[in-house]
Amino acid sequence: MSAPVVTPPDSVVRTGGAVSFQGVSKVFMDPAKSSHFVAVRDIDLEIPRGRFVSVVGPSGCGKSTLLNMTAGLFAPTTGQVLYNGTKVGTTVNTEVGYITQADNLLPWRTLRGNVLLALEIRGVPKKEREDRARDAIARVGLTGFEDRFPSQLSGGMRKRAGLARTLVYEPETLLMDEPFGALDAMMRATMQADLLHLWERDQRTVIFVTHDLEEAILLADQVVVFGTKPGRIIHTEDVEFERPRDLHEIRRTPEFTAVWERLWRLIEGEM
Amino acid sequence: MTEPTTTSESRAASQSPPSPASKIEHSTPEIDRAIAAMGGLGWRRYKVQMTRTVVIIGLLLAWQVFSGRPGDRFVLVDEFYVSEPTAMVEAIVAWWEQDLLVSSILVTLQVTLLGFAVGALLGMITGFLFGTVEFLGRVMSPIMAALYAIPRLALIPLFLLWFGLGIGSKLALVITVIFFLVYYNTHSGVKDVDQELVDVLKVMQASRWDVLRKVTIPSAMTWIIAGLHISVPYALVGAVTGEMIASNRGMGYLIIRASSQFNTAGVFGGILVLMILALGLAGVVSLLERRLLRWKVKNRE
Ligand SMILES: Nc1ncnc2c1ncn2[C@@H]1O[C@H](COP(=O)(O)OP(=O)(O)OP(=O)(O)O)[C@@H](O)[C@H]1O
Ligand SMILES: [Mg+2]
Repeated sequence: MSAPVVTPPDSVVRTGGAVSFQGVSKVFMDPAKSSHFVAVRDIDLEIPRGRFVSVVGPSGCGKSTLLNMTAGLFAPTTGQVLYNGTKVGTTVNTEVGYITQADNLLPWRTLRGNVLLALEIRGVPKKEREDRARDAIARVGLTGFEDRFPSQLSGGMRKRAGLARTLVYEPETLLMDEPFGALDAMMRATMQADLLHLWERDQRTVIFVTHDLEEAILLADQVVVFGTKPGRIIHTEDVEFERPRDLHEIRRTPEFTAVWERLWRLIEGEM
Repeated sequence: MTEPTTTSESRAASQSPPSPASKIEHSTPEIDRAIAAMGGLGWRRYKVQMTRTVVIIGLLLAWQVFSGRPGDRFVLVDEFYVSEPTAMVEAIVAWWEQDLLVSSILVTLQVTLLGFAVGALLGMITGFLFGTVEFLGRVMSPIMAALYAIPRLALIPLFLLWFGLGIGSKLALVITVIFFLVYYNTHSGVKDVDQELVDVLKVMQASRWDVLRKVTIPSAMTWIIAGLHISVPYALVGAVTGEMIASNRGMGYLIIRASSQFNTAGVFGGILVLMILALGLAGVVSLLERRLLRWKVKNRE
């Protein structure tokens, strides 16, 4: 971050949270057939503090469900989700920042109002609030659009607004559900690099859901591959590229191509 | 992202500065012409307004010509049943000269506004309460439905008994009418809140109060405003009905008195005054709407 970032002093050396899924399954009601169906099952996954984990897999395999449970929005049907050793699901997990798949901006608040939201809730003083919001908006390249309502922003801009809204309060763990999905290639590359930069600085824990296998491998320490019917983990791949990473370089190495090919086959087999 | 100055927007901005002649950033002469030609849009609106004025004048003229004393030229309707526009205006002027007009309007407005304010406030509070506290809502909703089913006009004798012939009984009527309309709209609005938005806030460590203030209330506002829009005319109806049944003041009383004196023009004049009042009140709610739902109005621009 080369911009003068106004951050609380404790945020620089902060280790993220540890997430642990132990025998987790989630069953939903199918309202059409008024029957139950298994969205995900047999999830066993340990995410240590400060790790960057990507989750890939076909649509509907339960990636968002995994994040929702990590955020404690609902409890798993069996097993448990632990956050820093504490069970979540009966209570919401307020230690995570959740960038949801839909942008979920408040339509009656301007871009600035949306970015200020978490800081208002946390009682950050007004002056500091404004500074941090301005900085977060600049970081996602939306300076000049502060007074627009979400309906007046493009899809990609809304996506970035959602990012700014979460990054601004520096939660120790980031849950990101296809955060760069609607962005053009250039913007996407910039945001990927910036996310890595941020992560390398603060060592937050990141769970990063994406459809883009390339992105998953480039960014993460570990790629978790989901299969479908039922949703479950079919493979975890440790990614060993050196940090800090030059994404452009890595993309062209034979190692990257090899990993990509292998994981692609796996996912293909699931479709 | 890393360097705010190299984002695509600001780059685009620095490459094509606005031409000095244009007020619009990144504009071309063609765009300027198109915007200038938006006068075309203005013309369409002008055309609508002109036609509307002509239609209104035409209707009033026809009305004036076709009603009057039976046997006169063109007269189709006896002025005893339908009085002419000029007679209506004369009746209103007569009230003005007797110092009855303004005072009657004020009496009616007082009941309307006070009853509306109290009813709407109670309706909103109850709607939020029963909408957000699930348990209370379940317990109360059949009871509310039963109360709502009571024809409010049937309560007038009771209100007269309890609150007397003065302003109290009319207020009670207006409040009971407005309360339910606003209650039901608020309740639906609260139920309509997007759960995902609430979840987003909860993850941000929001308290129940934060959620209510930052999501539930603004989200329900669309519904509440709709409720206010619907109920404003009913507040006037309630007030006038009360005055017609038992009162010696207010527009309702003036109308009833005119009718008992076979003064059809007076009845029509009173109705005209009420119509203007209702339009004025609706205008006030529209202003409120434009302020509170700014984010919605802007969508359409
Ligand atoms: N609240 C819910 N109620 C009922 N079913 C749900 C709910 N949330 C998710 N599901 C179902 O659970 C399954 C997994 O959904 P989920 O949203 O986790 O998929 P996903 O992997 O995120 O898909 P995508 O990549 O398309 O976003 C789907 O079949 C979905 O229909
Ligand atoms: Mg999803």
